Amino acid sequence: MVLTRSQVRELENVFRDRFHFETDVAELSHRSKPQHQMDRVLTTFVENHDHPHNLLIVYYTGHAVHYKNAGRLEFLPSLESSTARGTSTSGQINWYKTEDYLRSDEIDGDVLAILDATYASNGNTGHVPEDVSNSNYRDQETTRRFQLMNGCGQIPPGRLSFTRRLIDGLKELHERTNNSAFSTQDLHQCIEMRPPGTSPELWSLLPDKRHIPLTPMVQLGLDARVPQQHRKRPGRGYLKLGLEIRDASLEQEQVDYLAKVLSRALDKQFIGLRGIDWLGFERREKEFISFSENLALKLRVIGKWKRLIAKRKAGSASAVHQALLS
Amino acid sequence: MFSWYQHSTRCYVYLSDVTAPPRTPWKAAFQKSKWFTRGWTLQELLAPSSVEFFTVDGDRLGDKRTLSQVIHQATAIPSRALETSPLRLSNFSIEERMSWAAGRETKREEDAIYSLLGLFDVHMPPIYGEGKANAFDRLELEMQRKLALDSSRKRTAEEAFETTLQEGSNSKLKQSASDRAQEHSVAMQDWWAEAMARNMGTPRGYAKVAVLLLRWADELDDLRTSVEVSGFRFKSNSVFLSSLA
Repeated sequence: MVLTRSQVRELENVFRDRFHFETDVAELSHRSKPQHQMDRVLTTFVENHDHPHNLLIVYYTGHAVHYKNAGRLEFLPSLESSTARGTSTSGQINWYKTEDYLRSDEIDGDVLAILDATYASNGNTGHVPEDVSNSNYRDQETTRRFQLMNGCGQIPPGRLSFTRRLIDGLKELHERTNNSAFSTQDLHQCIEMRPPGTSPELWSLLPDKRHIPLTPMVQLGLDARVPQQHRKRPGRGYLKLGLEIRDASLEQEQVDYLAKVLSRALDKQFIGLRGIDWLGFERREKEFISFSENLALKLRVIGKWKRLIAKRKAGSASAVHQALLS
Repeated sequence: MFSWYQHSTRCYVYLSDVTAPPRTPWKAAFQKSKWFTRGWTLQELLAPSSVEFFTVDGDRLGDKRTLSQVIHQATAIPSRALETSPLRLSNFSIEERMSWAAGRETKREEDAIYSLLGLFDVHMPPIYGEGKANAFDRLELEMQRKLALDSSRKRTAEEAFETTLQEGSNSKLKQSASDRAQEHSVAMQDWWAEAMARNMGTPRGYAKVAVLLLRWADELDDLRTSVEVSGFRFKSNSVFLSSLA
């Protein structure tokens, strides 16, 4: 218990002092309905910090029990008391309820949930029709991201705990990237590389699967330049161009090159270009395969037809031959 | 109940629906007996070291050892589970034990689950009215806890970590090609965002980041045992539940 407390404090310090994020620590008590506390704490947090250009990080450490068939993932202070109470709905926190709230369109900003607890997805990742999800034709400025990272299983707080490795991972990446951006994927990999331990998991809970960038905030006092934010208001025009590419994917170097060429070749003032979005990469493998299959089929049919004609010719020829003979 | 049967010297089973006297073809009637389709009788068959079967008239048909083949055909319980006494449940996988219970009937739906407690050596109070799904969830949870306790006694944490790591890498190998393609799409998008931010001079980040850290004010225990057990799941529990219906 003491260890958990000190680790949470350490994590808070990393977020606050190194990344200059705003931090709040909330303590849940099992003595009065935890779900109500959770709802209240979260609503206040969202009310204070939610904005389309903001990121909300929700971290939880404690026990979690997944009732798969009842469709509940419960957060609770202890595993001991959970079974005697059964799956009662008053004493615990149902994380899926919180998750659904964070996923809902009531929230404007991106969300990153970090759980030092067992996690299982309820499979509800904001379903989109397949053709839409494949082509990714969405305006990046309007889609939200919601990712969740969790440590596997419950490891006692200490050297091996997920929180410990999270703290070390954040520190390492902060030092390595020298105050510039790294993504949740970088963080995930960094934690994964820290032996020994179980692999953390990273989930995308909304259709937009892009990784969330974690960038240390520029402190106002030290650096007068307030970072210029992404386009504050959407531009009044939106031009969609299509690039036909030879291969089914691009490598990082190619993407970098494309970004460089496109952003430099255009005179920003002249056109009034506000930004260039990646709308999606469409793979055409399927069409190609079906086309070639189709072709093969056609060739086979043509071959058969030719053979058939040849046979008939031979047949009629022999018939004529026989008629002549008789 | 299971342990009562386990400690019994002998268990006599009178089959009310088997009337044929010995030496006539009674096997079919024996195998079709309701006794083999009910939920609670499973532990009566497995737990005692000796189970003797009688017809409704009191004629002895044999015991579970001599009739093991016939019982095996009727219940799919392997004969070695019937022939060895005392029965070592740990010699049989959880799924195997589950399969013995599949298709058995109970008057109350929850009993389909409660009748299995002894089979998995777990204890939990019955809550009639909770429904089969909830009862099954509780059973699963109890089993996870038990596995966690057992394994923490047997294995060191290091070993547990190793297995989990291996499991992790195996599952990664199984990742389908379409998953990889999807992942690459995301990667390309990330590279683009990064490169654009660099080239256009826009920061890649947020206007503000707020962190909410939640923890329990009064964590009740520090016994965080289920290390490698989080990977433990019934592969087919929905199938199992429906087979119990």
